Amino acid sequence: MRLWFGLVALVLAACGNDTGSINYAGAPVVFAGLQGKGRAAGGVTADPNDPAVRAGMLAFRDVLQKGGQPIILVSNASLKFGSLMAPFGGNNGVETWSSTSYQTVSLRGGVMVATRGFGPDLMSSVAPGIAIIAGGKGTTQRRYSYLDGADQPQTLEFTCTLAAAGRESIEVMALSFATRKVTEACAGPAATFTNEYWFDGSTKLRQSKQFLAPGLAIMMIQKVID
Amino acid sequence: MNKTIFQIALLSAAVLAAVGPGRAELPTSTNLSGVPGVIDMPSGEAMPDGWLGMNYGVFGPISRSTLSFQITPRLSGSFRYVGIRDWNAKYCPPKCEGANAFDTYYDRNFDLRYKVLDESQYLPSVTVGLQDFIGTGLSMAEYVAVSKSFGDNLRLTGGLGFGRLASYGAIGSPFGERPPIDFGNGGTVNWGQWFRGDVAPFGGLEYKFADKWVFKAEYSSDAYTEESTNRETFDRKSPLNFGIEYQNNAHTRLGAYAMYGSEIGVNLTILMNPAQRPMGGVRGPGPIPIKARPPRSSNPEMYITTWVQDPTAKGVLINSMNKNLEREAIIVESLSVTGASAEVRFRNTVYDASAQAVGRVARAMAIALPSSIDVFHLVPISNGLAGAKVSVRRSDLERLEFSPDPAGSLRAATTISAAGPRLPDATVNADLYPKFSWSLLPWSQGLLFDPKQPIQYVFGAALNARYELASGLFLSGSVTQALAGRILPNDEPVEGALPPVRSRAATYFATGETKLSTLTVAYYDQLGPQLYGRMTAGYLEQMFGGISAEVLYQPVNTPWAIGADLNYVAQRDTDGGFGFDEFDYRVATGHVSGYYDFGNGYEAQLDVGRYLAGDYGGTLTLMRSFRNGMKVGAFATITNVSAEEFGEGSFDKGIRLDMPLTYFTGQPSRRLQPLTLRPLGRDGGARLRVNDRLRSTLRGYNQAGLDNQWGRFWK
Repeated sequence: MRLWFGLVALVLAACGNDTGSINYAGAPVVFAGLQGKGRAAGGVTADPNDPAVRAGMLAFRDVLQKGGQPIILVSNASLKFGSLMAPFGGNNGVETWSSTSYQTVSLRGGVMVATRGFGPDLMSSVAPGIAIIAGGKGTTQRRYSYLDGADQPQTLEFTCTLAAAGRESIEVMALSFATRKVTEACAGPAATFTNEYWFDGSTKLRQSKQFLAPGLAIMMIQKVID
Repeated sequence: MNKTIFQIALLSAAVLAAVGPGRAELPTSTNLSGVPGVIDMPSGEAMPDGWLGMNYGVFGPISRSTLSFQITPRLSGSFRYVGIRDWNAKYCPPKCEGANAFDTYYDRNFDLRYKVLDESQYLPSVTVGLQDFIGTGLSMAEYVAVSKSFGDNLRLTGGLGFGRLASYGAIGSPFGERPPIDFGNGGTVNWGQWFRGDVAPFGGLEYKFADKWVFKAEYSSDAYTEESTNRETFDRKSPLNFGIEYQNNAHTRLGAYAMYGSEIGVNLTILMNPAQRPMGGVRGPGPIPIKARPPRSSNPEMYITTWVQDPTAKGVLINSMNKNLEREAIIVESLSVTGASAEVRFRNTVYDASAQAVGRVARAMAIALPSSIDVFHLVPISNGLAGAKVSVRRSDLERLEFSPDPAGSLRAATTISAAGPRLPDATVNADLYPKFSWSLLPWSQGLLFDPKQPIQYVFGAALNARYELASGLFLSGSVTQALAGRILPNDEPVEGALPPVRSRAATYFATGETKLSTLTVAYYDQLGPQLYGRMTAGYLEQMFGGISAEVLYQPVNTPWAIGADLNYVAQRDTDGGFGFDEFDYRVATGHVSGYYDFGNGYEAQLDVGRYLAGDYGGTLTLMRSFRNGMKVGAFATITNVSAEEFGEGSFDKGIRLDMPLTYFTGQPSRRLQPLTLRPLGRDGGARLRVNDRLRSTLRGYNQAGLDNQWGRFWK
């Protein structure tokens, strides 16, 4: 009366050059204190108003400037993600930026139209152009597409209202910028959220907070080096 | 669960608006027997379609472990392992033989339930159920249960039970006497008893008194005649049960109960939805963006084709693509160029979704190949075999990358066809062979349902190595080392008339610590455009060694495939060494196999042929397959071995789960964890196990496999 079955443990630890998986640590570059949040994912606490921290950030900014390429800073609190990104490619007016560990955001004139490497990625979208957003009035239609846990597309629709939100002085990596703020309040069956845009040129974005996915924090994108 | 994963899980819940028990105000819950119900009684409801439930319910001396699967929205099946402690306490000593030989009595149940009616505003849900309908029938019962919700917080259930569920408070026998069961060797369906004999009412209520908390009360029509009256394993004082349950999320529920006026009960339920990875979309590094070519009009020099004549050009391009694919663990095997099109053959070692591997290679092609190439043919290769050819226009990749529906638009412009042999002009990657690869993986082996100890296991490590000599030619082996745990050897005399081809499994598992699991040489060959062949020789599996040959005809875009295998094997020694002396058993075994995909996620496989013990017959396997690669199914094998010769259980049957590692980790991986659960592991209807059969080698490399996860092309 013997009954049996064989089972190899579903344990993730494995080594070798043929384990059937990529060893992906997913360790993003984290810059503590850059957004004035105080505490970043690494657990390091840094106060952006501390003169020593400011001096450090300015010195770091100089290093980036000398690198000679544009840099953005992308962060998301619920993904515990914060990383500088450099240009990775361009196609059809969309610029794709990547972190050193291949998380990417794709921006059309600064408007986030796709992400990769985060898991709950924005696979594709229909979004208003930056000129319409910069206009700061009217309504827009947005469509966001994701892949679910069965790898099937799931599309969410939103109707949004643009509004001018006055002038604001913001700080991006220890430098101050005088900006004009626009908000885009969106509502749909799956979520409500507000995108925020800070322009320091007519349609030139210095900073934005843009919706990534329901249940996740908003994506913060800052232009550090032009 | 760390916070990030929790957030991602939240996202999947939100994005999908997944149908889960958590969404209803008063979720469907399972009873101590692991089927939708109140406490000990069933209800009229069903689990959400496709869900798997694992349930452990215990009260007094009685414990039940149940695996349930909602096969269709209306039909569900359950397998249950029941243990009753103090079974022989009243009789042993002095009478300790026969049914009184065990202190704990173990039994296996199969249930089927069919939901006849869905609940609506005025009508209740109605389910007809067969409990323990195969086998010895100690728990056998049939019932009709009706449930109706009133508002958001109250549900009432009532029903009529037959058999065991009519053993208390019977009100008559409308369909005549219930004949006694002649269960023989078990494993037979007891049609004759269904809905016969006494009928008794049962009922209960569920009331949600706070968020996540439910109060339950019921009137049970189960007298526990054998357990309580005859054997006095517990004292059934009352037909009433009460309890409270706490449901933390859609996936776990814990309950505590006062049972039958004398006992405490506890019930733990874990539910999972195979259709949806708990973490939603896969993680893993993002791809290189599509590199658009400069317009031909302004850059005609970029489109010249003279490079094709350069004999070194294709080798350089292969290296360039491989450099871009290095971090993907994808290797380009060959490149051929015809006019404005290029065919790249590559091996994918990581991506569970073949479409994602194809997408990554397409991006590497867009970066590396000269602008004059406008059509990409992508051919994934597995063990040297080509299953499908995906043909896309480069201009479509450039045009659609950031369009509103990149996956749908690209698929409409993509052709998936038979790959055929490698083109004669192809340049082959010079660095492919010989190639050595290895892995050290955690390993475990388990034995379930032994009455002496129902759960036995060993844990350890498996060292796997593979040496690839040429396309499709491998030497590979695996050694396992046990580090912890213990399995009791099977030293009892063999029951039944068949050679012990599988019934000595426990002895194989128990003997020795370091064991040669497999050591084989295998050769795979593409015999035709859609015809594949395999030969494997050596130590094929833990219990058999020999030679195995297989052919498979699998058209790229049909729902069916057909194959055959022929093997001549000898039974290995139980110590995991090189010997074949212990059993002195040799057999020729083989099957013709047909595969059919009904669409909508239902698949069937029929194998007909000769089994390991020399018996002839067929195996029917029915699977529910989900687009993320999860599969849940059941199989049954009937051979010319009589129920008496087969022994307990009468015929081989069981449950099969194929679980991609990606489901649990959310990271791309080709690793698949098969799990076969047999209530009884006996010698009739046993099949040889050979690694990397053709069907699994080509898994995902046909049109259906690509389409199931096509969205991953752009991931």
